[in-house]
Amino acid sequence: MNQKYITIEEGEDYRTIATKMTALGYKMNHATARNILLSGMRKFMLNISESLGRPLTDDECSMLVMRQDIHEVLGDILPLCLTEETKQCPVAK
Amino acid sequence: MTPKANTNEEDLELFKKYQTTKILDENGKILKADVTLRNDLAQRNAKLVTFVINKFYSKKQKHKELRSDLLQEGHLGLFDAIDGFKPELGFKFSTYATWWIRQSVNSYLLDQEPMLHIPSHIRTARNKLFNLAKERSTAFKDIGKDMLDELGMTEKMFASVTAAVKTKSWFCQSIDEQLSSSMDKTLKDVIPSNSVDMSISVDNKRILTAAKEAFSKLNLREKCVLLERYGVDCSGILAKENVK
Repeated sequence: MNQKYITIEEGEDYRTIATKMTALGYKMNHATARNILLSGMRKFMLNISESLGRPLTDDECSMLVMRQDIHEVLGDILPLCLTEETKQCPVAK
Repeated sequence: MTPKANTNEEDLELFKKYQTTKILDENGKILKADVTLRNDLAQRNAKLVTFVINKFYSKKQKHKELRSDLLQEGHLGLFDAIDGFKPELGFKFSTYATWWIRQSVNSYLLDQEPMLHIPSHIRTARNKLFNLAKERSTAFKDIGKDMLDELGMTEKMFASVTAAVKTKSWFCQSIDEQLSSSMDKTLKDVIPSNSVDMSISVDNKRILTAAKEAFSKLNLREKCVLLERYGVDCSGILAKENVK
């Protein structure tokens, strides 16, 4: 696995994320956005693995974060994680 | 000119007697008849079936393999012939019965051919078209409207016949058949199924529940960045938090 980057379709780049988050009141630059994303992903995967009864080690997490297919699965799972309540929030509309 | 009947006198008497025992309904179907007499007549003419089978169905290998079946079908045709024979018309019984025997055997053979059942009127139309195409030395696909008019066939009927002809080229295979001698897999193993495997469905539910739980443990900033990174609008979550 020599790939040094991951491509995500329909996703935003770090600079856009940083701009959006800043506008929403969470001041950050692109590097912070990346760091938050990586730590968030790591935490998310660790939590899942613990729930399924097989906690991942740090090394395993680092390996998984670099896999394209894992990112694709995350892209599929994350929208499903939003509760119906959140999706239909009247304030958001 | 009435042909000279070769059916012997005794048989003729039996046929006449059998005629009198028949009780028909308004459509001409036999409701009741003397079965013993019918069986007697069938036994007397059983050799005719063997003769017809030997004459018309003895050359092809397929016919040879099916010989015992063809004989049985021929006997069924013979029974139909006995039921329908009218001795007062003066024709030989063998002339009449040969047609019935051949019809019965042909019908059986046509039923054997395709895996899919093709109605007999379509089969008859197909045979007519094939014969006409052969006469004119043209291919089946080149059959034109003039030929259809000649046979009194509609275009709709021709479409049905064409569809029936296509089924002949369909390749039939058992789904339990092994894909190759070196593989253990059967066709059933590789054909995709629309139904979801129960165990996979349960696993997916478990993973989704775990993912939802894991996501809820993240802080708002992480949630938003993750969602934005994967193209999901996070304004819903933020709005919810603001409401709280």
